[in-house]
Amino acid sequence: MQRASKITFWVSLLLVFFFFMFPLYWILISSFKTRADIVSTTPSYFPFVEFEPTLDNYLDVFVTRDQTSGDGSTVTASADVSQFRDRLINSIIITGASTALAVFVGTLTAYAVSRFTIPLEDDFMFFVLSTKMLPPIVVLIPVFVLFNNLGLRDSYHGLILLYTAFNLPFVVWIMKGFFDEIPREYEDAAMLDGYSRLQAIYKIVLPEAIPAMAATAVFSIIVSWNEFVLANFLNRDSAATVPPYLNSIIGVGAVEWGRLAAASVIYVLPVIIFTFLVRNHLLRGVTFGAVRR
Amino acid sequence: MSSADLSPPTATSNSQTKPIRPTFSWLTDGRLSFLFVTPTLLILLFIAIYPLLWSLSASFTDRTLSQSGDITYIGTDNYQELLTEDRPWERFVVTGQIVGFSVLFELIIGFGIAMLLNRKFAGRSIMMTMMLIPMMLSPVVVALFWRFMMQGDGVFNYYVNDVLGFDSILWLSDRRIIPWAVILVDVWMWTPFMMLISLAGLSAVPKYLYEAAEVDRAGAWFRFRHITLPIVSPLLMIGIIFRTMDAYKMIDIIFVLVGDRGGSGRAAQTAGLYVYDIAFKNFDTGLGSAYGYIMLVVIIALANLLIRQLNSMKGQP
Amino acid sequence: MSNIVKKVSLFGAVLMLLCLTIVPAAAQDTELSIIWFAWPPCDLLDTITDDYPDATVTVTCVPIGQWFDQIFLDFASGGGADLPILDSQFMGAAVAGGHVANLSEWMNENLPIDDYVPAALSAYGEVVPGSGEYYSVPMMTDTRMLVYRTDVFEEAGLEVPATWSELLADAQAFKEGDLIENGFATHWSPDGDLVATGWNHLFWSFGGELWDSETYTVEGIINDEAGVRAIEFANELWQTAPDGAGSFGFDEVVGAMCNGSTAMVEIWYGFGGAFTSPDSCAEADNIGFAVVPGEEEHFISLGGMGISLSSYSENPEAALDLIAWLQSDEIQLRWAREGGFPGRTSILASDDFLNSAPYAPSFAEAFQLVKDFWNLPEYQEMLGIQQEYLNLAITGQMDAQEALDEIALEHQEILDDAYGD
Repeated sequence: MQRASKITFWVSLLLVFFFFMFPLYWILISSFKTRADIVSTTPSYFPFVEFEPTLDNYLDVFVTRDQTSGDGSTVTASADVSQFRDRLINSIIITGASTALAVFVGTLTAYAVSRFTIPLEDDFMFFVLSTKMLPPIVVLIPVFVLFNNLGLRDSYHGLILLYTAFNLPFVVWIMKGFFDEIPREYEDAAMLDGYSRLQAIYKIVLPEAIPAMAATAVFSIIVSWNEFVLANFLNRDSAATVPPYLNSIIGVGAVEWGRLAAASVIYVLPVIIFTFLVRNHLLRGVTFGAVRR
Repeated sequence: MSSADLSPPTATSNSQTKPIRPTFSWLTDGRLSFLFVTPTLLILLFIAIYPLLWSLSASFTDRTLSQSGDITYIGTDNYQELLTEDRPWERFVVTGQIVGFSVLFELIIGFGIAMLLNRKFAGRSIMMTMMLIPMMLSPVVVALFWRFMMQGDGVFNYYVNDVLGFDSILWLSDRRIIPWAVILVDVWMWTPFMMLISLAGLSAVPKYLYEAAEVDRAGAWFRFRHITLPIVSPLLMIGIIFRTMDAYKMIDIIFVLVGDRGGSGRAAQTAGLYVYDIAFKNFDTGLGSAYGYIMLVVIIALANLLIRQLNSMKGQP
Repeated sequence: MSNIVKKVSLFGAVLMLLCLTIVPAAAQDTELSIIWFAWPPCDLLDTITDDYPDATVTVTCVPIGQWFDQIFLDFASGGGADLPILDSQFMGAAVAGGHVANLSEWMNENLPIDDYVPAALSAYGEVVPGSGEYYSVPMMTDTRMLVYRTDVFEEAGLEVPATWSELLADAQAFKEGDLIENGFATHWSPDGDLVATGWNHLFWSFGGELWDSETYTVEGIINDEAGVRAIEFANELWQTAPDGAGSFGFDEVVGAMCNGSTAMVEIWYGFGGAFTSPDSCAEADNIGFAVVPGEEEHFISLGGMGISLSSYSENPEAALDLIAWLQSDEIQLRWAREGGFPGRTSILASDDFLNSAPYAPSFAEAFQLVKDFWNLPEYQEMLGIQQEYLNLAITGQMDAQEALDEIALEHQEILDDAYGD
């Protein structure tokens, strides 16, 4: 009985794991293949055994190489390769700042809504949520016009502001659920001891809230890191981010699968590392949030 | 490490040695709440109000993408056109199918994995981190590689056809299967989101409740139904709300997987994709804005329903 | 804070401008910009314009999915690149909105206008065919080619097909036989303009016509007997294709040829480079290129696009100088040598072009047979309808006559609404 349930457990776990890992593995090995190996009708999985791995795809992401074939026609899809490093830096700055801002501002708002009496509290929370509701395509034209008039195009602060706004609803909703669960007695006791409200928040509440903030931060990072549509239209030059570059690699004809896979692998690494570092907070984090005891 | 003689007994800690000097006391609760709420309000207003008003006014005009001047107010013509034709409504049926099944499967599978990962075993946290990777990737890249794998002679059909000898599954070209291909990719990408939320909820269930149930010799189903589910469900509900709203707007995966019109027979042309078709491809910004507003009304109604559900769950002990 | 920065930089800019007007030598620092979508010719243009002596030229290659969205968003805000490269179909909308300048006069004075292939000049530049009012200069010409496996044809003892009927017979023989898995493939997806561009020239070659451009009539013209035959013919071709060809886009078509599963594919010449290197295409050494066949008549769909002058350019004179430079013999020959497709007869006939790639000789021939469809501002809406029903009928998910009737009905509605009187 015990043994049977253990077998069921491992079989179902491995099945699910296989389903989610297979496409990831496919992308990973594609980054080490030539296009000819990738489009072959017989799949190959094992480097050295089934196909000869190459590092060219990774080199192509960072350095410009001679891209002409024997007959003089260009064979590699476009996108200026040297852009990748600059774009990566821009992505890091914009994602980092917007995430920090969204989590900071959103946490304070969530605290206020949870603890203080706010007029029209329910309506406010619904408004916060509703800003996520308009289809982005409808938003695109007015945002473009607005940013154009305010001179916010091709700037860091423009996209940072936008992404902060994208992420605020999630942060506010999750963090409010979280603060609802922290007993008020902690702060009340601290304030009886002579702390001001602000000190109580800083010394008592925030340390408790760090895990939950880490959780919302991961979600915010994922959203900002991969946002494509607005980044593509608004930031074309000096403050351009990576997602439009990934889309350019796709090109129009023969997709540069290898280079696309390599760039994607490099681009997802920072998020994986961040998530790995906060993995224990993630689990404990949201734990407190939104759950009644 | 005993407390100093002069310090008053405190409830917060015993390592408190210095007397507390309150700072920023002039920041009363009222002022603080104003200070804390205003930035969020301003940022969201700044980003949301102008687009909202702009598209509302555009929805009553014949504005096109290529126009420079001469925009005529045409009253509710756009709305009448949309509400009287079949196509705009068919798009909501398709959207409902894709969003409904995607979120449902993500909930079930995500929660299922969370139940599996909730046990203690070696490699658990590594496995959890790896399971989160699908949603960290760019949706465009995800959809492109899935498209590649779902081809008639792609890797999936290699096993279906070449190895097992069945007919190939035409994921991307048979209009009856296309919506399911979209659902499959969405589920692959976003199940980790529901998994994470579920895991968080599961680890919140106090152990003593299970122990008490053990004493009462309650069955596994009873424990799940009466202990686990009530505690986890409010959090799951927030997950469902956010996932539904995102899936409702999602166009990138479909766009890459089966093209700008949602594939054969517009099988996966959702409302969001249809707005793109009208407002950008057909240049009809006015009509597109009107359709965007209809979408907004629908999602507001849906969100209200879900939030009401959430509040009633929270109301339960 | 940023306000101060802005003021300071504005002050700096004004100061610099003053300096520029005083020192004439610095005047060559004109900045010009071109916008196109990301593909090899865009990179080539970027490389070539680096050598332009009179200004600093920025070439922006945006993802194709956002290409015209981007250009029209720029128009809407009264800015953007000096020289947008737009598809001919968007010309109608761009001209109607007053976003691009009329170049006729300038072209007649500054370009060897008689040397251009008339069909290209008209298709890329004109909104009203035959009006002689040009809004763009041919930049990248294109049409479709037949790509085939030389080794397979040789082994089967077959010649390259000269008519569509021969092509179908060959494709069916390949599908039945053991030489190769599939016969023929092209992009039949309802995405973009994929299925329509391929089917249209088949239809034209079968003697059909999309509409009567004089009377704006579609009903009874597209849904005639030739139309039904062309769809049923395309369906038979589709049956010789790899599984799932109903969703094929460009990448899948290139893949079907390069992975060795298919004997023939039809695609734009613009993708020629994808078939020539063994690194990216395993069968590269066994691939030949030919003109797409005809039947009762011989037409091939026109692709490619022209370069236009934005009405919002701050340096229209300098921008026109750049076009003239790009169209000069020297640069056109270089463009032809390095993989671009020119629009001038003399350049098409030059050795520089004919030796540039294995597919170039057949291009010069095919480009004499080109034909384009409607250039109306309603183009996109009509295309969407055509795409939907053609895809369904060709992939056997809808009856041919029914599909054509549906197209005729919906097209007629749109035309009647727009040009009723």
